[in-house]
Amino acid sequence: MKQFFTLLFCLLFSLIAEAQIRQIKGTICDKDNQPLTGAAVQVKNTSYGAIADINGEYTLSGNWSKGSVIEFSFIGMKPKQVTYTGQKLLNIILEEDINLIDEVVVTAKANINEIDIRAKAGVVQAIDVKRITSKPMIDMGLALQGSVPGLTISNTGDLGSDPRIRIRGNSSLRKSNSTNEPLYVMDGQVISPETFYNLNPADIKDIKVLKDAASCALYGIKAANGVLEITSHRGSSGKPTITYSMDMGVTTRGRRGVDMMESAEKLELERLLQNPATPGYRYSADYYQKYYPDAPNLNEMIEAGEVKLDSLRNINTDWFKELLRTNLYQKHNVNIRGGNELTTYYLSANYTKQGGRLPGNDKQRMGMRLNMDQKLGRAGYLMLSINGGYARTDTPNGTNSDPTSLIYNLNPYEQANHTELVSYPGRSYFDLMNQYSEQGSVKDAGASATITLNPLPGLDLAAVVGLDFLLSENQEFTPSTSYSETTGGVPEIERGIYKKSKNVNTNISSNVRVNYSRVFKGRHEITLGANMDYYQSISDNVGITGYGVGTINSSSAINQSLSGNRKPEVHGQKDKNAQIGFGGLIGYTLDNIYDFYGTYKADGSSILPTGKRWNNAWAVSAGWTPTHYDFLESNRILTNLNLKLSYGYTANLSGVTVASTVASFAFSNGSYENQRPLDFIMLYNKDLKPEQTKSVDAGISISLFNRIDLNFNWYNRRTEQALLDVPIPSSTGFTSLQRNIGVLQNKGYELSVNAKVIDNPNWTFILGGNFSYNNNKVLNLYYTDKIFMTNQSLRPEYEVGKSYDMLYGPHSLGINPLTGYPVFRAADGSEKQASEVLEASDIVALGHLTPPYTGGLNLSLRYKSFDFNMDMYYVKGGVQPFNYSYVRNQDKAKFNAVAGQADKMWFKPGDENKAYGNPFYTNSIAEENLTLYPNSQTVGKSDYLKLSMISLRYRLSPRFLREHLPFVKYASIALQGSNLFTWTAYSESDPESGTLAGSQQPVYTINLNVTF
Amino acid sequence: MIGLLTACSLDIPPADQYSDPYAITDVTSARSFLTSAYMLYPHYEFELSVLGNDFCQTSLINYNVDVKNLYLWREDKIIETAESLWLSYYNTIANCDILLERMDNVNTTSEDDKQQKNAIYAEVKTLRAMCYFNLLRLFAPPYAKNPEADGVILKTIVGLEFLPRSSVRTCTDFIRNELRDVESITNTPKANGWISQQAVFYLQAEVELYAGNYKKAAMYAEKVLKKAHVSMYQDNEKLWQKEQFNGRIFAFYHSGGYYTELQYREKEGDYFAVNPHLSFHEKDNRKAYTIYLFPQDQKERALFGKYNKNNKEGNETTYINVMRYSGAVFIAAEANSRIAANEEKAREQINTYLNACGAQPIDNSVKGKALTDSILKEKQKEFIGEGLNFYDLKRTQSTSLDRLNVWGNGIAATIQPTDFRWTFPIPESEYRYNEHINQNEGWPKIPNKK
Repeated sequence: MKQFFTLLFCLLFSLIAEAQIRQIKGTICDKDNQPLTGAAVQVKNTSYGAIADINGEYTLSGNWSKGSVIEFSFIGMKPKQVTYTGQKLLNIILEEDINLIDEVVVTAKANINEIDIRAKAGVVQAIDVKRITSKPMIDMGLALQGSVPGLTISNTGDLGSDPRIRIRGNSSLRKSNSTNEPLYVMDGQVISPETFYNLNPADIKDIKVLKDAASCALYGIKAANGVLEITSHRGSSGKPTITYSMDMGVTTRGRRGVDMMESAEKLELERLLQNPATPGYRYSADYYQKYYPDAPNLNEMIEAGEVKLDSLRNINTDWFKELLRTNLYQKHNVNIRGGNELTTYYLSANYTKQGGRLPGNDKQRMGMRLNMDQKLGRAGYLMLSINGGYARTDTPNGTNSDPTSLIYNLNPYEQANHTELVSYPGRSYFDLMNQYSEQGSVKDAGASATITLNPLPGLDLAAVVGLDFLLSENQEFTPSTSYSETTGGVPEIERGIYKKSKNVNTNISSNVRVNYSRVFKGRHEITLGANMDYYQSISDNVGITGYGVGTINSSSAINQSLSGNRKPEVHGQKDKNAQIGFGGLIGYTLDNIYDFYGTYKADGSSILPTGKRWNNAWAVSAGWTPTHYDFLESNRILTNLNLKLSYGYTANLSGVTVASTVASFAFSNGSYENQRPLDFIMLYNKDLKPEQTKSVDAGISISLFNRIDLNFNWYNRRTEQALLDVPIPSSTGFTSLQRNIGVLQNKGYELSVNAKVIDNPNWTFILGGNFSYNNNKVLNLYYTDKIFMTNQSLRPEYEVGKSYDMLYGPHSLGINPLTGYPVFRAADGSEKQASEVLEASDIVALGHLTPPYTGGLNLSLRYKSFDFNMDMYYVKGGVQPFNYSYVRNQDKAKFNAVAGQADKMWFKPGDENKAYGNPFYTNSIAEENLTLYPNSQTVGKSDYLKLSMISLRYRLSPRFLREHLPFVKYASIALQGSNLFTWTAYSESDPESGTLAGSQQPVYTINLNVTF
Repeated sequence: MIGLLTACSLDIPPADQYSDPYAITDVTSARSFLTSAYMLYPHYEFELSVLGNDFCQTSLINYNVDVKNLYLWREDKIIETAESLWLSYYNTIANCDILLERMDNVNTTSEDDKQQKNAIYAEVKTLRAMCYFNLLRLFAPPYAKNPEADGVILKTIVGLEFLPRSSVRTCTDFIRNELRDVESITNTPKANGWISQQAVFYLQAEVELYAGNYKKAAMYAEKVLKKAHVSMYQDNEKLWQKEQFNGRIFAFYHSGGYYTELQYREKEGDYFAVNPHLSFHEKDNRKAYTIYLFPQDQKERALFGKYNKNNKEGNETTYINVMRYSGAVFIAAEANSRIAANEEKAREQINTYLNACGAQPIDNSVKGKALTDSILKEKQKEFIGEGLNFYDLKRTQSTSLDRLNVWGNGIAATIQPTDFRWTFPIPESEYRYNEHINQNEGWPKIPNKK
């Protein structure tokens, strides 16, 4: 031991002895020889830095070694790097940079898991954050759509709904977000998906997408679905800079999708559908002739009816325009950064509000972040971050109130006034509005500390401790004046419902990592690492439901004296679980040509019973970079070529709870003869195992002429012991049980191309595109060869050898003119009437619900001070069933119908070539067949191409600013738009979400960006 | 670092749950869990009344096409009802099984505890028998038609099993044995909401009546009636009030809305009214609570009272009546009327009750089948809206069932006693996932089933 200390002492002493003070002087100017006041000089990876004075002159002193890189940078200019070889004088000319301000100071890595060797051997792709910030969109998740191949993101509903984010498809048969969503890690700390959705893009420096096992295995079993690593901006030494950016704009109604009928057609349809509850039939001659054939005043009645119908025909309300509106979008962001050689800081605040197209639907968000970095002498760095945010979503859509559906339900002859509606008997338009409101808010706060020590060259000791705290609140309010309350037979004193729930999620993460990296003999680079991490997550939920609140949207108005089914209720839920992991890694690089990498992680989870607690994740990979061979080093055509291969294994525990493995009981609400019920929670499976994901990945990266980058990856990911809640006979008392049921596979490839077509001082033109294909398949089922998920399914949802996101149904040959029901094509090619019982063989695959092909296209064009950027997103190969709720049968005649239905519908035998079938319930088997299965004529291709972003920016030249606005360092103004247009053949409103409510609304803004 | 390690324990019990093996270990937790089973027991009294002969449609029926179709016995509506009935009964059964599997681990420390444990055992077994009895009556053909026909699935352990249906006779015997196992356990709870020993006898009487074992049925019913008193019949209206009532043998405790599906809107009226062929004598004390007079469609109409009356008058319904002394009278009287030698006894039993209610007694001249029919008619009146008529019509298979038009003016359809729909379809949630089960006659089968 004594010897060790002696050795350490000698080593430190020699390091100090070697150090000596060096000095460089010089000027920093732009290409017109104008001094760049405030430009920074920094010796990379050290704290030695200086700032140019009013004449652009600087003096840099410190004790760096020969071979150190000195970086010169200035806001709005391209940074320049010079290797120190002993110069005393260095005059520098910086060129204008079309790109936005870049980080000036690089200290330690904010994410301690981000190890250099990992990037060499695994598939890690970076998202161009600059493009994300140019999209005026409030949802961080949706803004990433199309940015990286293999990262698919879809919108699922109205504004503020959680997006569906997947890396390389669903790795589980369970389709929910919780079982397939990637892990989100910000500055080394695990954060919840909600925190991620509400991040401010302006605070983000980069986002990396970790796709293969080799890059994810460091995170252990939490990372079975891939990882999104987010790094935030840090401070920079030098004079404080303040950046303010503002977006002001409008959001519009978006795509109409389905054209509904005008009054004349609707009344005609009603006559044909013969439902006496509708005026079109009730006032028609047909009606009077049928019910009053012998009335002496029959003709007068018919005439009076015609007058009534005429008055209705004159009203034509366009409910799409009446109910939807254009709204406002605004965003403000301010940040300050600065510091000195020891301490730097970054402070930002932002506010965004996006108004939805439906009154009562909007989302707003505000947040603050402070990042502070402190240099700890020579030993390392301490990085501290605190952040807080608030996001709120309002919606009028609830289980009993769905204003969006009114666009399709209200008749064109109805008006927004107090008269009774045909579509909603007994109610007027105002009885449909303001029926319900829901408000969801998320308050998050986080703190993290990262310490990085570098006690010996090549040896890094790093630790991160983070706390992510999330308070989600949800509030639902049904006023006493709402229709359901006033007519539900509830006494007046008990009317008005108020519900509130609060959920506190606390995530604690800590990670300690030791890393040693050294180059031997100038060619063997070895990296050894070990880590231990611990995650704890606690969720605590409390909710109340109260009645009698009248029109007051507050818990204080709850009448606590009520009893019976309107007595106030309180409910709650608490859960705590923890995971601890130990990992190790080894990496070896030879001559920068060959890379080998291996990693192992063992994770224990509190969710599983003691004997089954520990699961592991491991990966191995190899890389080959022939362009680093001497003979290729100076090749001008092939500037980079890299090949990679990796294989890995990860266990996956998501979606497994304690109650799914042992019998568990919980107290429930209510009482019975003064006794409290203790409920059995769910049917348990004592044989449950975690899912096991095995994946293999091969990739190639090519750079040509230093201008064209090509990236291609192929992968195959198998999930064994796949978990699924499978249906079981209901005589068990339960309808489903979580079981390990089989093996599935996601296989595909990804391609991205980026080409600098033109690159000269005046013009830059960059084209990029990416493309990905994912194919999923069930490879094996353990107990059977097919699984039917619902009672009705004729065709198994999961079948060996088949894809598991397929939509099935019969192939329709059209409507039979005799019966009005479709004729299907049977398996043997013969015709089969819809009124016959369908057999499994009649059901064919109609297409994939998740489009297998997705991708993005982007374009950047710069001419002098103008920047033009455009992003497109496309999906191909999928189908969505039509909602068809707007095609009305006799029972639903009171609601408005799709334009053209009167012509395209079958009404009587002999009607030929019709698109919509029999509206009268005449055959129960046919009706059932039609309700249960979509058919080839009731689904549409969901292919679409979306213009997701356009931005045109004008940058005020630095020279202009220096002369006229010397306090402004950088200024630009832009016109921006997001989700501007969608090209699709899909005839309903939204091919993406497949819902009538869902389409993402276009946003147009003017953006102003100023740095002081 | 070491501190961090020791703080990172992975033994974290669920924060708000009890998990095995420490969950059900004493009589308090066992009783709490049993309570949950009581609360899971499904209540389809409204739907079964709609299917039976208690109601006619009203002018408001078109506002609820679903119940209209159920009234008209449309197959899809019966399939829907059958699906949820099957699952709810089997869910209750599964919960009973979970408790029975854990009864051995229930520790008792005192005599009181032991008695309580026995009571819990008797109650859980009887509750499970009630579920099986209803399943059998709904999903199997009537006992009298063919006792060897497929009955229901008898499940006695928790978890995944793929069992075939047992015959109607086997099921009936199973229920008999279950009840015999607990009939001797003395259990006299004070509240109407717990199953008592009397309730066990009552259920035995019902099961024997179902199986056409009239002597035994009469015997058990009379055993129940030993504790009956005329005042119970005179105070009939207390059955519909929220307080305890000694005229009840067993009723499910209930909080929250019940029978609310009948009403369209408070001011407008109901979807169904009482079948106009059922009328009460002016002095009959049951009339006041069974018929609710209400102006609808421009006239005063005889709407359904009981729970519906409670809803309309803003009174709470705390008990859903299942077994009452008057019910035992009807079982005894019907059983005796079917035994030639006991006809007089039957008449005496029924007339004692009718007289106490203030109703017209059955005339001495009524004999044989006519007597049985009169008793059944009175039974239907007694239990209007409680779902019993459907079971009786199915059991006796003697009359066809008319589906009445609005206010009973004319007949929309007639259901013959031989109609296949009397026996509910085995729901797809069972049929599809269980290879060993057969579908009932007449109902759609899944074509691609193995």
